[in-house]
Amino acid sequence: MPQGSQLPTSPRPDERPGPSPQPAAGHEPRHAFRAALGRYKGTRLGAIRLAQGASPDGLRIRPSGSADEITEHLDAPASVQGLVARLPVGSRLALGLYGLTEATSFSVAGLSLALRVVETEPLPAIVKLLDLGLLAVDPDSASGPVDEFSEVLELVDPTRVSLRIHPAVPKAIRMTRPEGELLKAAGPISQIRESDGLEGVLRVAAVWQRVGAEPLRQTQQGVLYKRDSDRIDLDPVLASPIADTLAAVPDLPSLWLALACRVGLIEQDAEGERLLAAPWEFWTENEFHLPQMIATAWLALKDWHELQGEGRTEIESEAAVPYLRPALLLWLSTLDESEWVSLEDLADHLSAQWPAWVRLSLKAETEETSRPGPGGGRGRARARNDSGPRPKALSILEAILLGTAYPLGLVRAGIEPTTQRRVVQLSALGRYVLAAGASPPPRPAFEHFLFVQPNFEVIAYRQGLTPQLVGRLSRFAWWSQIGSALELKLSRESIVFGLDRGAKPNWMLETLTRHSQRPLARGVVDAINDWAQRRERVIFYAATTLMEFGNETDRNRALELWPEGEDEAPPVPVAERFLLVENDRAVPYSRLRLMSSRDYRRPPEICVAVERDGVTLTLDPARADLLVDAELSHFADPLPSSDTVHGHASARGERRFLISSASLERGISRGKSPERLSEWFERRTGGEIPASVQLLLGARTSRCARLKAARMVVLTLPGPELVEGLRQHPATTAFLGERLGPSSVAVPEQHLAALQDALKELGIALDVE
Amino acid sequence: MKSSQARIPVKLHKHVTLVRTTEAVLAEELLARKSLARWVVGRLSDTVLLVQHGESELVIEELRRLGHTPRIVGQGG
Repeated sequence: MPQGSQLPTSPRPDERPGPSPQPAAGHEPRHAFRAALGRYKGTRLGAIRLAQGASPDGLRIRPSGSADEITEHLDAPASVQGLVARLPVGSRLALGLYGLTEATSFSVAGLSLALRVVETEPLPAIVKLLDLGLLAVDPDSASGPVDEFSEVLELVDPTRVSLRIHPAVPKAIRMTRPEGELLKAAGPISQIRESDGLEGVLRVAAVWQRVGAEPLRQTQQGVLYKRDSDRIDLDPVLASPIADTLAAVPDLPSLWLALACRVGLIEQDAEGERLLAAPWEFWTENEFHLPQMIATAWLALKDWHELQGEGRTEIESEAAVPYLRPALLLWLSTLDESEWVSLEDLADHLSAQWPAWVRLSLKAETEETSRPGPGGGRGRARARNDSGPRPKALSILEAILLGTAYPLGLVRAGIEPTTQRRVVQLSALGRYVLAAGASPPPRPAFEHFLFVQPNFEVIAYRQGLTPQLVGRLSRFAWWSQIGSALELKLSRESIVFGLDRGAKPNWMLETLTRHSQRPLARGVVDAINDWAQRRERVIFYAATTLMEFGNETDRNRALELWPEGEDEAPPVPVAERFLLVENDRAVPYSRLRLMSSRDYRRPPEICVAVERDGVTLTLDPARADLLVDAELSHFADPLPSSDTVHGHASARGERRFLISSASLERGISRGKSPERLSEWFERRTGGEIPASVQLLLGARTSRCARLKAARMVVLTLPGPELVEGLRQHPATTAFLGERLGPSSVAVPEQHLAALQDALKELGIALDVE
Repeated sequence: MKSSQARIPVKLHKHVTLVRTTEAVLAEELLARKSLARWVVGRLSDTVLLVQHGESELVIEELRRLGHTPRIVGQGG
C-alpha cells in the first residue's frame, strides 16, 4: 500500500463558479491567502517566518516577518517540501484533503470533521500547519487581529472560519493515508460490478448543451431564476435516474449542474448575471481528464450532497456530508487492489473511532464533545454496536459510495459470498484520483457504436463511447435519453448549435459515418447540409465593423487592396459606399486614411446643426453615425447635395435635411411625439426644438389650429406719459384697447368716434388717416 | 503622390449590429414583422438591416421565433 503518492493534477483552475457562486472578489487563491495573513499580528507573522526557517537560497531570515515574505517563501516548491517533511501524519493528512479536493479553502468545522473521520485530532494538526504558515486562518471580518491560533479555532464559530492554503502547497505534497486498518472482506468476492464511469461525463455534456442553447440567469445573490431553475430541474434527461447505480440519490439535476460548474463546462459571465456554456474548446482541452476532473469536483462539491440535495433543507455551509466524501475515499485507498471492505465493517470502524461522524450538520459536529480520542478504538471493529448509529451510518455510506462514487466510476462493488454483504473497493479511476494507482487504462475500442436512423434519432451504445466521443457528439446531436440506452436527436437546432461552435457539416457527417454501423441515410446527409445552408440565409452581426467610403470608386479600390486570407471571411460590399468586415484585424489600414471612427457601444454624439431657419438640419460628416440618418428619415427629408435652402449653400460633404409639414406629419404618425422629438433635438443637436419646428408642431394642436386676423386702429402719441394719461382718464380709458408699445395703443374701430368726442371735450383733436 | 496611390479616406463604424440576408425578399419579410421591425433602425441596402445596439439577444430570439436559424457573428463582442 503506498503511503505517500503524488496526486494527479487536474488542468482546471482552482475555483469555478457553482450554481450558486460565491462572490469572486479577492478569491484568487494566492491573493486570498496573502490577505488572510495580512490580518495577523506582526509578532505572529514574525514567529511564523522564523518557524519556516531559511529559504532554499540561504538568505538570512529578516527579524520581522511579513505576509508578503511568508507568501513568497511558499512560492518555492523546495521550501514547501522542506516544511512538509517536518509535519506529523495528521497535518499531512489535512494537506492531503486540500490536494484531493483541489480546494483552496476549508471551513474549520469541515476540515475538522474530515480529519476526525480519518482518525486525526484536528486542533493540533491544524495549529501545526498554521504555525508554519502552510495554512492561514481567515475568520470573519468582525474578529480582531489574529494572534493565538488555538483561541481563534476554539472561540469563533468554526463554520464561519476559513482555513486558506497557499496554492503551491497542494502541488508539492504527496498523499498521506490514514494509519488505521480496515477489516477486509473475507473470501473471493462475487458479483463484482463497476460502472463505465461515463455517467458524469454524459450528464454534464447534457447540461452543457442545455445551457449553451439558453444561458441560465441568476440573481445578484447567485440564485437561479425560477424559470431557469425549473428548466434544469424538470429536464427529463438531467432528472432521469442513473441506470447503473446501487443506491438512489436525490436531486440529480442539481448534482449535474454543480459538477458542470465546478469542472468549468459552465461558466459565470463577467457581470455575474448568467451562467454560460464554456466554449467548445473545453472538450478538446479536457476530454482525457474529464472523468478525473468530475471525480475531484464531486469530492469538493458543497452545493449539493447525497442526503439533502443542494442544501434546501439545511444551510449549505453547515452540511457535513461533503466533508465525508474525501475522508471515506481515503479510507478505501488504504486497501490494495485485491482487498475489499464491507459497508457494515466500514461503518463499524468509523463509529468505533468517533460515533458522531453520522451527524449531518457541522453545527452538531462542533457541539459534539463526547468522543474517543484519536486511536482510542483503533483496530478491529468486528464487534458492532447495533443499537448505535449503524443504520444511519450505512445509509450515509450507501448514498456516498454506491449512490455517487459508484456511477462516477470511482468505486467498484461486489458481494461477500459468506455473508452476502455489499463490499466495495476503489476502481482504477478511484485509485488514480486518490494517487494510489496509475492512470486507468483506456476503454476498449468499439468503433461502430452508433445507429443513425432515417428519422434523425441516433442510438449510441455505451460500450463504444469515450469522453472524447461524448464531447464530439454533444457538439451537434442533442442528448434526448441517458440511461442504459443512449439516444441523441439530430435537428436543425442541434446542427445550428454545432455550427455556432465552429463545427462544419462535413465534420459532423464524418463523425457520424465513422461510428455508424450502417451508411448514413441519404435523407440524414441532405438534412444536415440543408440545415447548414439555411443558417447562412440570415446572418446576425452582433458587433461588426462597417467601413464607410466617400464614394463607390473608393470602396471598390479598397476592396481590390484587401489581402487574401484563407481563414478570414472576405469583406462584404454593402450598398454603394460601405464594406462589412467581420474581422477588422484584416483591414489594410496602411492603404487607408482614417477620417474618423465611431464606436456604437458609446452613447450617440451631437452631430446635427440647426440652421438659422430652424427647419434645415446639417449633418456633421465626421461625427455622424449610421443611426442618425435613420432617425432623421422619420421626420425630415434629405436635400440634394447641390441644393440651397433659403439662400444657404451646403458645405462640401455635408448632408442636409429639411423638416416640412409633410415630413413632420410622417414622423408624428410613426410615433415621434413632441416629447420624443424634443429628446432627439437635445441628444443630436444639443439644443431645444427650434421655434419654426414648434410652429409646425403647433399647427397640429388646438393651440393654434385656427388663427384670427382683424383690422386695428393704432393711436401713437408723442410720449409714453400721454398714453398713460389716456389710459388713466375716466373719459377716455373705456375706449382704448391693448397697449402696443411705450407710445402706442390700439383703439377698437367701433370706439374711435367716441374717443374722438371724449378727446374733443378735453381739448385734444384726433384726426384719423 | 499619384492619386491612385493616395490613401483612401474612410470612416469606421465599430461594433455595429446588423442583420444580413441572402435575398432582398427575406429582408422585406423581416421588416414586415412588427415584432422584429421595432429593433431595426435603418436599412443600409436591400439585404442589410441596421439594428439597434444592445438588443442582440432580443433580436436573435425573435429571429429564431420566426423560424430562422441565423448564423451569429461576434456575439458579445
